[in-house]
Amino acid sequence: MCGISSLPEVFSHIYVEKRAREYIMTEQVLSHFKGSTVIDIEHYKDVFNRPGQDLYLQNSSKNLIIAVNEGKKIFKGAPVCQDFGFDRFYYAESAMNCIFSCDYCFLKGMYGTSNIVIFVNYVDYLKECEKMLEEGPVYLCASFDTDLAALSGICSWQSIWEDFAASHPEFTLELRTKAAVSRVTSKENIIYAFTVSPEKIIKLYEKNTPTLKTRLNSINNALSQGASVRLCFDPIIYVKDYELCYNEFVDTVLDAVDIKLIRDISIGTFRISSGYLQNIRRACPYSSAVHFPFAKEDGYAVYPKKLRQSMIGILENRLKGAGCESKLYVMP
Amino acid sequence: MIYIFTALKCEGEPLRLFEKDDLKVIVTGVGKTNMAFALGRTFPEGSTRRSLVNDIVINIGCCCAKSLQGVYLINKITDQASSRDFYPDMLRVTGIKEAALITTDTLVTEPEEDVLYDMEASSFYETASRLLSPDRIITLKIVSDSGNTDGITTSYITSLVNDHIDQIGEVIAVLRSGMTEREDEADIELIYTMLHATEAMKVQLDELINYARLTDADINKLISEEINSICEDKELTKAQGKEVLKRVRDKLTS
Ligand code: SF4
Repeated sequence: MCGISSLPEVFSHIYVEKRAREYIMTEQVLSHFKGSTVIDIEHYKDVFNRPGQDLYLQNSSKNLIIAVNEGKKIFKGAPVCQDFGFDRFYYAESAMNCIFSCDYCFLKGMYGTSNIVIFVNYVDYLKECEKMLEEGPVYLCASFDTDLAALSGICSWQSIWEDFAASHPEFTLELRTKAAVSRVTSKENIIYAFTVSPEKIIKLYEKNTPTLKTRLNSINNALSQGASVRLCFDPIIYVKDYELCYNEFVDTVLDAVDIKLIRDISIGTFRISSGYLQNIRRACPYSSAVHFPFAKEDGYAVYPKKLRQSMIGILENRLKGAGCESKLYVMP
Repeated sequence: MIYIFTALKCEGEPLRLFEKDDLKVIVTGVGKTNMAFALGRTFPEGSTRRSLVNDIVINIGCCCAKSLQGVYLINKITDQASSRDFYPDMLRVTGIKEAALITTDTLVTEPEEDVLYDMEASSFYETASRLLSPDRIITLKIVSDSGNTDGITTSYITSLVNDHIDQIGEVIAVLRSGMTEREDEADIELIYTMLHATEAMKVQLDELINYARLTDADINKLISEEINSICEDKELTKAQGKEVLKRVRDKLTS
């Protein structure tokens, strides 16, 4: 183990691209961190892409980078993502990396750093979406490479996307989160996708995230405001007593939430590109969630088929039993 | 291991009091080339990020500044000649003030406000970063002058370093406190041999042993049970070794 006790607070250092200084969002973010050391940089990649960064150490002491994204902003969804029946399924890179630290997070595999980038040129993103809408309806996952709702206390990305979706009915926005969301916009085309996990899994593998109880309260709060809510039982993570753990968990969710009000439900077990798995394991050397001896299928590390089916079966059967059959999207 | 690199002998001498089995002071000579060579000599050919995962390098030396004074931990290094910037990862609380630094090829006579100047740091960082993570490359600079080096003697520099020895000592203490080696792999040669493990099986076994350790499962017991159930008292065949591996995997993951 390393000297975690001598690590600084989160965002002790904020790296700001010189060109980002002129954006309102930069000011907005910096105003929350008056005590941080601010370092001017030329390009976010000079910090973000440094070779050999120690993600294990950084996980306990994340720093922030504020940048202008002059590259690609909107990407086509990967085949491993659930597209919920939408043809034009995209995700936006409004920020990279997350304030939370789930052991199994694919971002640990994808990026060689735990530091977070917030892009501040949101107008450019919205312009790009306007253009895409000229060719037909768009489904955009805005909280894909991050948890935008978790960042809503320091930047306005979430409300920017909500406002855009509210004025563009052909634009379906998905905001996926584990955060405690207090304010929602009630529109059919704005989906709040809450990831829920058993409390045991949260404690073991979803560091810094809200408890199950808090998430369920957020869900109920969103539903009571008439928001469109998706429940994501994804990823299901293996633990020795997974049957008991996930059965009790479904009981808790069904007790707490009026499932009839839920728009749809996604179910999937943990899966990750094999290439990313190596990096994740280095970043989380002590996590049994990522050191599980996975099977390899088509370049992805997955649970062995029998186990996968058993884990999915628990959720699927219980939710079907609760009358949700038509709402289920299952990643096999 | 902690390696302290100083350009001058008079900078390095006071630091020898920190030398122990886990810390070494290396005097490099002035300038970027000397610094790069010294780092190259310190880490033998064939060194990898993995083999040096427990090593830390520190560049300690004097620098010039217009009005800043004292000792600084450097959070940004700019190489003036190439205009390249380098960012050490500031992941440890040391209590030392931070500043940005510019590395120049010649002595600076008219420094700008709020920045430090030296002649080695960019090369130190750039060379070290090929093998070490950016949080393990530390640059500490003590302001010795404001561009006029008249009267700067070796004994003056030594006394300057001595004046800040307590602060330097605190940084070293923080670094030492975080140096508990990461756990080594378990000795599994015996298991490899018993199961006639091929290279591919060894990879799988490593994975299983690691997973068992993290989930508090007794891997030795699991393996012995499976060996016994397949062939009591006899040596396993290769095929049986594979079967044991499969059964242990199933037990651990069901
Ligand atoms: S909340 Fe999502 S994005 Fe954030 S660390 Fe967890 S899995 Fe990754």
